[in-house]
Amino acid sequence: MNSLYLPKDSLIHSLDPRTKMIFVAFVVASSFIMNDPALQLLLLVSLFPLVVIAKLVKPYLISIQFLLLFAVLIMTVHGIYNPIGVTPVFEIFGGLTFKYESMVYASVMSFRILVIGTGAVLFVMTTHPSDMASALVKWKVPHSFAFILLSTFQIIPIIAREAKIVMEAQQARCLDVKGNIIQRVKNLVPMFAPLFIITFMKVHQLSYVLECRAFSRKGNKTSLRETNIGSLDYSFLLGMLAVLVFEIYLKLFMMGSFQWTTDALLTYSLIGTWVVCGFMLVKFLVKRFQGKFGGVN
Amino acid sequence: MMKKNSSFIVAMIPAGIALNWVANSIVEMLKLPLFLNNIGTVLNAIVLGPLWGAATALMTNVILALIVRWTYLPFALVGIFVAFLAYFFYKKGWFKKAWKVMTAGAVTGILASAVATVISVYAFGGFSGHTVDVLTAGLIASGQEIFNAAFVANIPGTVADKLLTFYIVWMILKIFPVRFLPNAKDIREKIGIAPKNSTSKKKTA
Repeated sequence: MNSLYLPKDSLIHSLDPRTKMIFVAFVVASSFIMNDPALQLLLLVSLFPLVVIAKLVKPYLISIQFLLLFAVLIMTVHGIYNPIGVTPVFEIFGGLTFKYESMVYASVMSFRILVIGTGAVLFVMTTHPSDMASALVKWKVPHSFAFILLSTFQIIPIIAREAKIVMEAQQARCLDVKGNIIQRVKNLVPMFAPLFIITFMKVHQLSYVLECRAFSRKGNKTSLRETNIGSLDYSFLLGMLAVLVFEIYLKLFMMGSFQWTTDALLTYSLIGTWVVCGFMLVKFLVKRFQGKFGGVN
Repeated sequence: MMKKNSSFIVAMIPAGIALNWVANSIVEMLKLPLFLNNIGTVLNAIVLGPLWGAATALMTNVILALIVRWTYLPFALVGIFVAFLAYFFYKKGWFKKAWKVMTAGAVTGILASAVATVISVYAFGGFSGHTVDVLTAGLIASGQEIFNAAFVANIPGTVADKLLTFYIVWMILKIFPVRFLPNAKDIREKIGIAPKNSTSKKKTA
């Protein structure tokens, strides 16, 4: 299990992980500062060049698909049924009306999910897990915490393999996996009991090994992968600070003077998410269709 | 405890996270409509203590957010809550009889789904990213309020899930070999296996 890290050679990859953590915090903060659909859409669009710079366009689009599903659900259901809506915007078949206030509420929420998702994907896909851990240690996070984070990535495949072995062994001993539901619930105990015991044995082994390597000794621990903050990081941080100051200025002084959140913008963003979602559905169905009839691939 | 077994704890928390993760694949293989994604949390809360159980829950959701998608992160609160509740019931001696364990699990399930509903309503408008969302949307469409709809849609699955989680952890701790547990004596007492056996053995030996 290697998180979602994709090793590529790009500007974003060469940034220090601490800078990227601050970047995620910055994205979250600005998505809460700008609680207006138009500005959040602007933020989302302005984050996309960073994805292009990081050479992650395709994996980004794949991982954002599910969040889009979230957005479609929230925007549709809240736009119609949220009780805070008063002013009707447009009507679809069956007399269901989308209302302005509830659409604003829903689009703020779903754009926020998308914006934070973009920031998180940028961070996770460009940062090696051990860099993440060493950055946390540099921030005075306890070393054991960083170790837990890092070793989980390695322990999950081990336990998953053991689970598979246990399942096959129990099936070989005539464990019925196709009985009625009560029988299958009862089967959970013979599945989990050996797995728990194996886990405890592994944990004991691991703790002996850790003690052999003087894990609980006090003092500085060195890391194999070194991270350094360079001039690139400082310029990135300065840019973020400038954008943040601009956002706060916009929020405090300019909010009343212009109104970008119009009915048309809300309607088009809603229809846009529908179209993208429909496209995804068609793609999914085509894939299923091809798989069923032994298509080209 | 921390000083004596620190490397054991450090090794046990990733294992708990891995159990939380792997439980899903076992449930999937048995084709049960459950998650059991708190099983390692409950185990760690009982074996290591509530704080380490909470740490397991938090780290599970951090790892899920890193590997799958970030929307799992706010639901860490639910896991932390379950860890504390599990330890509370265990400490109060509710892990002695089957029906008590099941009641504890059901109560935990109700409270946990309330917490999960509050989180999902404030962060994601009542949706949580599981297949239950379809039911939530249907309930909202049929005229329910958003909070009620999310709560009603969540509660049956969560209660069944937590009930079974508690029951399985209890069943397994009952048949667990003593030498693997760090505080086996305490656990055996709390779980309802009378320590008579061990004391009589000691006398004879």
